[in-house]
Amino acid sequence: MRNLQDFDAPSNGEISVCELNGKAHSTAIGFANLSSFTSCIESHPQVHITRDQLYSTTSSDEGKALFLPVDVSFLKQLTQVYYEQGTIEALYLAKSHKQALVSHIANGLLTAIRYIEKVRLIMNPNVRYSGPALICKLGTTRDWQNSTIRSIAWHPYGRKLAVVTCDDSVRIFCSESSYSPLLRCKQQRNITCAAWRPMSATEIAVGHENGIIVWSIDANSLVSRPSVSNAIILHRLEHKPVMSIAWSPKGDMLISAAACDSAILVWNPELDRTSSLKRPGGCGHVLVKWSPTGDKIFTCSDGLVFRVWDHRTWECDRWTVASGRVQSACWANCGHTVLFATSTDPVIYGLIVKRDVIFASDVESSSIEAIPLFDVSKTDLFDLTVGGLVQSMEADPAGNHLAVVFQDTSAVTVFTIARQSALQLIPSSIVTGLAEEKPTAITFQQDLKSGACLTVGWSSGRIQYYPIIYSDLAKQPAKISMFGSIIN
Amino acid sequence: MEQTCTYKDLLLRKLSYAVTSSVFSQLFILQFYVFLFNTNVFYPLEWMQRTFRTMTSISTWIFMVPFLAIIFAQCVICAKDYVVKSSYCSTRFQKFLRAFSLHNIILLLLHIIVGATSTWLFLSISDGQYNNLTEVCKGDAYCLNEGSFFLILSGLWTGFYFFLKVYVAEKNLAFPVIHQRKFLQLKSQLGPIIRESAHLSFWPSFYFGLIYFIVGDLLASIFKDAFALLDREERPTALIYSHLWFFSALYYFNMNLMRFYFNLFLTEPVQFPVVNAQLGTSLTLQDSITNYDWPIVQNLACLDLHLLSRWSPVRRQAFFALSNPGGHPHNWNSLVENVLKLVTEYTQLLNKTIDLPEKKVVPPIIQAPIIQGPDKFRNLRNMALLDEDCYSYIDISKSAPVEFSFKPNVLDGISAKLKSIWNFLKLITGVNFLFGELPQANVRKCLANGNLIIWSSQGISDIIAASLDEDKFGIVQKDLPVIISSLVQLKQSLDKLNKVPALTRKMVGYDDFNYRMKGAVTAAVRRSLFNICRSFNDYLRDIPLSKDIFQYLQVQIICKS
Repeated sequence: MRNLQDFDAPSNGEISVCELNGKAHSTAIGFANLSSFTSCIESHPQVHITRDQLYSTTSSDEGKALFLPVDVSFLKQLTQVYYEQGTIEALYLAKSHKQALVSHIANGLLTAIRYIEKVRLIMNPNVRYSGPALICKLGTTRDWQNSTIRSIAWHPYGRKLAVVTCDDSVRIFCSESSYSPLLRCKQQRNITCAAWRPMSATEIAVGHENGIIVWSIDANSLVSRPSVSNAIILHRLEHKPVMSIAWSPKGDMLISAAACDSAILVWNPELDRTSSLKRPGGCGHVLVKWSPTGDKIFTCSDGLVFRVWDHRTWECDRWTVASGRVQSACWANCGHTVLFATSTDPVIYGLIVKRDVIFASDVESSSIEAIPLFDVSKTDLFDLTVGGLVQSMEADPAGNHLAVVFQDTSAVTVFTIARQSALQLIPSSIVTGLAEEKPTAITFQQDLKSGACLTVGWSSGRIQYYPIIYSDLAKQPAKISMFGSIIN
Repeated sequence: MEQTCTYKDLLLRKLSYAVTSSVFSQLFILQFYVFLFNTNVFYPLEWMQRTFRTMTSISTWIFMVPFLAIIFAQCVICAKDYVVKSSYCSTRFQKFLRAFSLHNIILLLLHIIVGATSTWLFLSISDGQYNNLTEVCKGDAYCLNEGSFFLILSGLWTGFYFFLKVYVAEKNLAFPVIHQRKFLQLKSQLGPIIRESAHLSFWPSFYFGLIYFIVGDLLASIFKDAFALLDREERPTALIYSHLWFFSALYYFNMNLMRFYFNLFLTEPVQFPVVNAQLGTSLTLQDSITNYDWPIVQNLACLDLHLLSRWSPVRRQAFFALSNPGGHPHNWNSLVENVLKLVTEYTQLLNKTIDLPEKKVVPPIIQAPIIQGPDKFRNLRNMALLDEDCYSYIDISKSAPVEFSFKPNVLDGISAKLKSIWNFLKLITGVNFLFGELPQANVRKCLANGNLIIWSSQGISDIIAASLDEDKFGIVQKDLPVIISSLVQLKQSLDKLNKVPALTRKMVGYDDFNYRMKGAVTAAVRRSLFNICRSFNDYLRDIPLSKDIFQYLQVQIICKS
């Protein structure tokens, strides 16, 4: 098995800027100028979200510390707490009241509520969602809780980039337009992922703690904060926190996985109807990925089990990992292969998915094993440490390149996926950020004809484009397409 | 597997499965109940034996057979509701009449009877304290067991309540988002059905408790007098209310399960034959799309079109094939004909409903002959030599004939006056209220059929998108302009729905079915147009479309989507 020693690290003080015809180019940090190498991404929006651009989240109590407590009448205090923190907190306050009758009643009510909650938990164990720490633990975003950029999503056809930031909002950046809409509302808390809807230029689904919101951004209007009243709010009590969402290639169905729900939901967003995919194994799901051809879906649970579903029959092929869980996965090779890495093992595995075969039984499918493709154990390349356990991995839409982010080291490795005789990962380049920058989210542009464009969101709030360009593809005469020109 | 059969075979098969499963699951529930009731953890062998004895005893079966027969009758009569075309009531009077139809009255009676018998059956096969309505007491006389009386009466009430509240209101089939195996659907739905039943049956139980509290003594005394029964000393404890809830929940569960089975079997996708094998006899996909007499068949046909367009290159190929002999694309032609018929009729119905002032197009008195320019079929092989001169355009410049207009005379004035008085009278006497058309009745009718449009528009757009690679003869291209135009017209009509106040979110809230369906149909048509535009991206300018349509596509679909 090959390992990370095969990579060439950029020489000291230089950073990789792009890859042209299979050769990585790097320049000194101060002189990083992409346009001297390629013009393919000239019109891409330049994004750098600094901390002072973020909105304050309403949930924090920081403001409170500034004020000294004063004596107000009990009733006033109770009203304040009720308005600011809700009924339960108000009851707790009442419980601490001096008068016995009030505190006894409050205590009785609280006990009753506690028992009701217990019964609810027994009836429906999925309600036990503890908080954002779980998202942080299971998600593919590195250091989800503290990073400015939590997720990035490219539009499938246009040059529109959605950036999820830690202030519970989604910012949309378009090339050739300085206007950037902001998607933000009170229901949208702790966003985990975002996905543009295929067969539509303006709709984007945002998965958050309590459900999914499908926003519609009218390109003709200049409203910078689209109203949530035009959005579709999808919500199920037991389906939270939503960890991952994926649209069907025709845009009619949305599939979502939640960390505390053992069922995967398939939504018809407009009708707000769901069907659930439920199989034994694992008590929650963390990842769904629709294959680029649209006929297979990869899902993985928070346990040993992961599955590959057939979109047509909705039957699944069950796989297990030896230990831990699948940390990240992506489709490659035109939907023939799943590449994945587990949370305990620094190895990238490849799994060839059978096609045109009716999934007969688990026994039959488990006879084939996943192939270990690349050893990504921590390695020192001169003064740069790369590798370790994988945090997230993404492949470009054509399935030729793979980018990997690691949990502890701050370099992104890019592989070329080769499939001449057998599936192989060939080391290609290492993308590093500026000093102290860590990669938090990665994705690839969806419709770049001349190659691929890796997009990395760094912990500083900067978004870097790393184009992988093949000049023979780029030279092809660009058709005057009404579609492309208008949509961008 | 493609089935060649008639509509009746298809529906009968589906319905018979549903009815059989309903009856058998009743049997199973009963068995399960007996099993639970006899729970004896310390002597499992005895537990099994008792369960077995109860289930095999003749008395149980004597009780059970009439119950199952009633369930069967109820299923069969309900089945009709699911398959037969439901007529939309446009006036209040019609609605009123239909509520009191014979069919409904029979069903109401059946619901009530099933409610009472199921409670009675469950009570009597278990050896509890309420297993008999009467019992021997005070020596030789018979006393009324009030607990049993209370529960059986509650069964009647629950049946009545369920019919009025649930059955009358919701009769449309809900197609699942994805079509999994039936067992999996049952498994995933069982939990929610139980939860929902327990939840929904709370209020009827509560109401019944209240009613019985008020008139219970009166009813009991009437019953006692009628059968000369005595009073029993021991009264039922408060625990009986939990029995009440349990039996209502059980009834709700049974009924919901029955509805679930109908839904499950009727919405199961069917593969219709695409090629008409024997002329005129068997059902084909194309004809079924516009089969308004059997809505469920129509729905299934549209669903099949949607699925085949996405999944089955082999079946798609049948549309792109030419007939032999003759070389005509019969399959495709009939498909397009039927889909366009569906779409235009839908558009017309929508337009009729919305009642927005339309632009009046003044037709010229003598219409110029429509000359097909060579541009129209530019993509097809050109049989004739192109020669601009061979088209001679005829100039028609005739002045309009002089119109004679009379001044409105006295008679007209009187008749107008009478008419307004008549209208006023209708308003005053409530005639308008009873017989006038209900607002947006047509919109509701349209939206109830929304699935047809969702599936057929997506289906046809997927076939068109696939035709770029699969259509060797370019069959699809000749119909492209007309398909796009009718979809655009449909989209324009749907856009007008936004102006209907009864369908805005402020008025109805997000949970309203019509509001959601409006969104779903609009989004589906938009996606279909987007799909066509995207796949014919490079050739879009070559398609002979009218300027308005082209502009609409550019602005509304591609840019705005």
